[in-house]
Amino acid sequence: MSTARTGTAAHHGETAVLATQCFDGPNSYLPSRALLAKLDPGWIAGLADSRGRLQAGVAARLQGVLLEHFRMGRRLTLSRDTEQMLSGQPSVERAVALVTVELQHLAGERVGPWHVLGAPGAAMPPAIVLAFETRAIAMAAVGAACHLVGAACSGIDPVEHASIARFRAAVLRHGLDNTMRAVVTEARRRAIPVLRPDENRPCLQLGHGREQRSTHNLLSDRTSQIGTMLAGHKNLTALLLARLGLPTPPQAMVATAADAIDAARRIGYPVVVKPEASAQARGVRVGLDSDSEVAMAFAQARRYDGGVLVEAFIAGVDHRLMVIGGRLVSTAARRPARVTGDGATTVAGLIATLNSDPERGAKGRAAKATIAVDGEVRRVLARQGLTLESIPEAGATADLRLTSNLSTGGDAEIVDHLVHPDNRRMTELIARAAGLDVVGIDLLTPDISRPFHAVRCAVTEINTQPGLGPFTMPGRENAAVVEAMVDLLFPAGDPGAMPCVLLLGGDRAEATARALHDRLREAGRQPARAGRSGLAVGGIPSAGPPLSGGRDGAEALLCHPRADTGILTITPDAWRDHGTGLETWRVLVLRDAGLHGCRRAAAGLAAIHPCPVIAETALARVLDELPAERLILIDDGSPSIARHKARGGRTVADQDVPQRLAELLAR
Amino acid sequence: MIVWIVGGRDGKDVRRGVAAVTRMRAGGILAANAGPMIRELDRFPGPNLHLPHPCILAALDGRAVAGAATVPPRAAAALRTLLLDAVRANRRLLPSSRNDAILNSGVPQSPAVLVALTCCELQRLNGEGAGGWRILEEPAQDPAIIAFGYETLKVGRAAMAAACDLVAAAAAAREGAPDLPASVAAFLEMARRQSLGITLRRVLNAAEQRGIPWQRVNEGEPLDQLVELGEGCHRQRLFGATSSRTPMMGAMIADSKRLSAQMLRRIGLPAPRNALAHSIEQAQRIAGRLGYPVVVKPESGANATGVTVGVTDRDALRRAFEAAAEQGRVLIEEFVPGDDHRMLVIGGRLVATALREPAQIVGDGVSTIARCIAEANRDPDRGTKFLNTRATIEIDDAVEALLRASGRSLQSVPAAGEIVKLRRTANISTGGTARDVSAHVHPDNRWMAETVAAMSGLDIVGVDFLTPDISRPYSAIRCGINEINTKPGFGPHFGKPGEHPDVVAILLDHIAPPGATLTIPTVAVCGRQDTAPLATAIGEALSRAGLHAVVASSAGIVSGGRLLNGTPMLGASRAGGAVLSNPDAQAGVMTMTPQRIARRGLGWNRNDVAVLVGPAGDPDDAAAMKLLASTTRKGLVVMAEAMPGLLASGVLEAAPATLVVCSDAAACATHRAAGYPSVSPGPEGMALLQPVGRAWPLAAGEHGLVAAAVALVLALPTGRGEAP
Repeated sequence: MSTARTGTAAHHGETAVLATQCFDGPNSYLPSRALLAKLDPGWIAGLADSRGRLQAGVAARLQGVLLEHFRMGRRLTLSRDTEQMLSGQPSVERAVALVTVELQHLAGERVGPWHVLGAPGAAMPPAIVLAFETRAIAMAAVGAACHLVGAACSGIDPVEHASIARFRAAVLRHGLDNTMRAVVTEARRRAIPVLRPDENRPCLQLGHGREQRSTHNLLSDRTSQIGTMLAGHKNLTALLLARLGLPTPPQAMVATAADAIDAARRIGYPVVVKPEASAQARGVRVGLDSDSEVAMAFAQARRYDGGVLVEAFIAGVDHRLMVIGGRLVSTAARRPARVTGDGATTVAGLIATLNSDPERGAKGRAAKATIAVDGEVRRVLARQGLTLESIPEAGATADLRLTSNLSTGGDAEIVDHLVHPDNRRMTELIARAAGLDVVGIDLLTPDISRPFHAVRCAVTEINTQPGLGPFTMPGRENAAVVEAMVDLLFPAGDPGAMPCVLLLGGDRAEATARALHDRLREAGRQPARAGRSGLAVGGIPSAGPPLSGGRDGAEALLCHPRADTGILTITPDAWRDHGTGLETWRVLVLRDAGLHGCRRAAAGLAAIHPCPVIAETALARVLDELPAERLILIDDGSPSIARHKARGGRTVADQDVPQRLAELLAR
Repeated sequence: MIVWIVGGRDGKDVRRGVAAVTRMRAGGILAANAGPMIRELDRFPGPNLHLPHPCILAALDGRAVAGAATVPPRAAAALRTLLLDAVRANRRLLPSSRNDAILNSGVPQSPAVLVALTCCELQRLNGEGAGGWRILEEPAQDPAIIAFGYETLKVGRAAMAAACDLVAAAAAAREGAPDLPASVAAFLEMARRQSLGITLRRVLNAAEQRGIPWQRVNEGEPLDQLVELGEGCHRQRLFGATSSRTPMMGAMIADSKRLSAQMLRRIGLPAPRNALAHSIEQAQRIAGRLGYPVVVKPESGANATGVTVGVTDRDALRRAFEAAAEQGRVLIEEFVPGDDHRMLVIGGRLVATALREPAQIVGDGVSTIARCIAEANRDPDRGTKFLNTRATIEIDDAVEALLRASGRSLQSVPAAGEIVKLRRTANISTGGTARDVSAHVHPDNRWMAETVAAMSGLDIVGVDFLTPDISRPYSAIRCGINEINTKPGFGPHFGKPGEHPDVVAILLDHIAPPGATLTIPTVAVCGRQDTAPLATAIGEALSRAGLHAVVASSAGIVSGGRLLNGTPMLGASRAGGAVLSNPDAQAGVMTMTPQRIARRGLGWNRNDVAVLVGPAGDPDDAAAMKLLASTTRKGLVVMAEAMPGLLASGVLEAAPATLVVCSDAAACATHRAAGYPSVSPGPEGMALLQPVGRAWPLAAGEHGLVAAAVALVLALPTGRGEAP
């Protein structure tokens, strides 16, 4: 059981949560992953009025805090339900649940239904249960929510607290960035199951079992390692492209500052100095005009792994062309961060105004990155004869950087309609030459609508794991890129969901599972079976421990690279304590009615999915809400069989259960 | 001595450079000062007028090297000894028979000959394919001009100075074997760091035997182990045993021992329990939880660096933690007893399983352990790690500590037949050995290894499996998958012929279908005039046969009929690169002038058809065309007008066949009578190849006939489905 105490420091919010428990799938409270948090009645009593509700105005303060401090730079708003409830005087438990849900929602997480358990005065301590997406974030959110509710009641600082820091850290470490979030949304839209077996990594599993595909950020599970290595070394990329006859900037690898200056003079000023193997413009200095600037840039660039490159500065707009699955799917023109003057404000003031844009925030999470005022900004301003204190005229623009990466505060515009067909063909050729299925190609050209061979332009970089940032900016979403990514992984219409049978019970359920496993094998399938007797796949037993409730059993089936059908057996106790990691099943089998808690579990499970249910007659009574056509009773000659038949219900002989299951799965 | 740097790499005329050196020599400038004895004059990336393979041209002051105009047989013998004892990386390597004969000849040799052959042998004996050498000018004179082959430019260049020092040392030696000069030792270190690992080298040797061409992408860091096999659309890349298909994600999984163990356990495969330790205290807590003995290893890393197996107490844990921490994050892992098996899965199929044993010796009742180790190291298969199938057993602290643990020392004398283990880890790179046990693998274990490949997505993967008995199913005994290796070395599967499955051949079959040479048909068009229109016409004929042709000519690069780059492609090597590296190319056409070939050589090793335009009147042109003809696999296409000149200059003799293009039927008959098939306009708008009788649609324009002739030599099908 995954129980943990949360909260530590010296404020009364931290002892509010007595215990938490995570269910990694449908469970006896909710038909989805759910977090159960037991709250301290004493803590609640200390905050609530006599009716158990928050004082007037407290909820409104909470609403303000959420919007002000937790939006992660997104244009997200609170749900209408939350707004409504927070405009009144909700109970403390409700407020904690709402804030926990909204904290996750504002961090980009998928949220769902929630409940408050236990009434005031009841024997059971008050608890909340709510759907979540990422375990670590949900756990941190409930602690942070208790603190926020407590802080709103007592008027202390809501944000400066360890629980808030923990929550923010959990979001950064375990949450998905914009790019991956967009992929998840698109996959779900197509009914492709999305799993995240490891929340510590930016990885997704799409589809189940042998149909599964996966991504690590925007690397697909087939993105070539060699291609990735070639892209990671800019000098090799240039070599590869130059060999093909494609435009690359003249460049030289240098080992010392003196070399760098020599190379810069040979190539001709202005030049670019960059680490040979860095990403996201880290350590890149563009538009260097003098020996001293080159020497300084060299010192910066050499801090990164690999060598340092000196490259000709090609004037032009920095375009990012995304090639996925061999096709150019979208092109963004990227512009460096810049400010536009109003005739009154200093450059520094204009930057501050830009950074206050709710779209700006932590890079990778917000649509645009915050602009950091650093030496590079001062240098680029100086190049234009400006300082941070200068006041640009109204309408005049001042560039803040020369690199256009979104990660350094740049902006982007989709220019798909402008791209010359020869430029499209060139990018697709590069993807083939590098052997990359997902690649972002950087092309500096004064005019993307003219063919690359007719203007002075250069491919400066090819990027694996490119962020979709330029293509997913709010207000100009470019679904083509995300769709192409999902198409690449799941080209066929089949969403790759594994047909599964869920069996509830003990020995008889296990026996049925084994018989079904054998039956499916005979039919040429590769079933995976998990239960108290461990795991077996395609007839081959595994070494692992018993698997039943929680996510272990389900994951073993759904993640197994050879399995095409899943068979999971779960005991009533395991269902009550852990739920099941299996989100859906094609058929439900209910056996061993005599086991403790079996009836209750059977009724709960049968209510989750509208699928066929095969059950022992002893359970018929708790299943009488089920439409007759869904229920197939195992024929034991008892009177309830006759009643069931009379209602038009179907039956199956005990020994035929595996065969019937195989038939139901085959549909 | 001062040698002027002449020629250079910018396409200046080598001949001019040689002439300049000769003038300097005449002026007596060279003999005066000490200084560099050898200087690179030029280099050629492909077959050239000097040698039929890439080579470096150098000026050498032989007298300065050897102190005399000739070197006595004694010095040649000393040189041979140095090469065999100190230079070669692998005791199975021998000097080429030509070079060995010279070293053993017993007659005095010129220093130039010895330096040139040493330049080659320094490379060969370190596993590189250096090719041959020749002396361009009178060897007795200084400076001599030598040409010698190279595979890796950097190594070839460095070999020059090392060769001089080696020959000088041999010449100066009075008796016994001379010491290896420090400069040569430095060269060897560089060359070995630079050289391809034995796995990749063997794959490439096998590829060459199958006729698959290959080249290195980059000679230095980064990615110096990256090679490309094949041409155009067939091109494949190999990075050690990583193929073009090997996914990055799989490599990331394999690289993290913690992540791979976690994923294995998730799907019910046996993997030792482990956890990351960020401090010694945490390591001790984890070890306490897992129970001693434990294994301490870096979370990522290879070749057992920083790994300590069988840590039994807190003190040992502290030392092991410190050793592993030098390599990165530290993993504390449950110790799984059992033998170390390497299971190699290629293309989803388990192809070989080797039982790896740590370095060990067998006592004879007389010798000390130190002596037994020395004896074991005499095995010709043992040598520098990664360059030999087995590594030398090095005596270090780990060996002595293990001996101490069993109450022995290097001076102990084990009983006859007693086996003394020298290391705990079974890596080949630390002196381990391996034998094939493929026949004993239980089917469940085979399934397990193949499931690991499916889980990681790795097309080539080495699964390290610890089990006391490979013939029992993994679910029935205590065992564990210790590591998943991407880019596995094939060392455990190398041995004497017949002992192991031929994993090199299996790998090659994985990246190239059996029998495929991964080559595309290429056409070289050579003439003094502008041959771009002709090249375009040939490209169109190739397209007619359904092939995507890439044409590199003075009109730039055209791929599948579309302009890729308008800059004239003049250099043969650039044109070759543009065609052969293009992933769309199913056929290629490259143009070049004879002058250019004479100056710079060819940029590739072979072509299928060479079209010779115009007569080879100039003797230089004739030499260039002869070189081109000698690299032609199918045949030459020649204009009738050029025949007399080409016949007279002997160019045609260098080619396997020649086909004459001629509009005049009577003239055609004359050529056929002389043994040369002809292509001429035939009925129904077809070009007719006689006496064979095959036809090809004759396109309009002045180059239609030549283009048809090229198609006929290549025996291309016409795209329209009509029988050619």
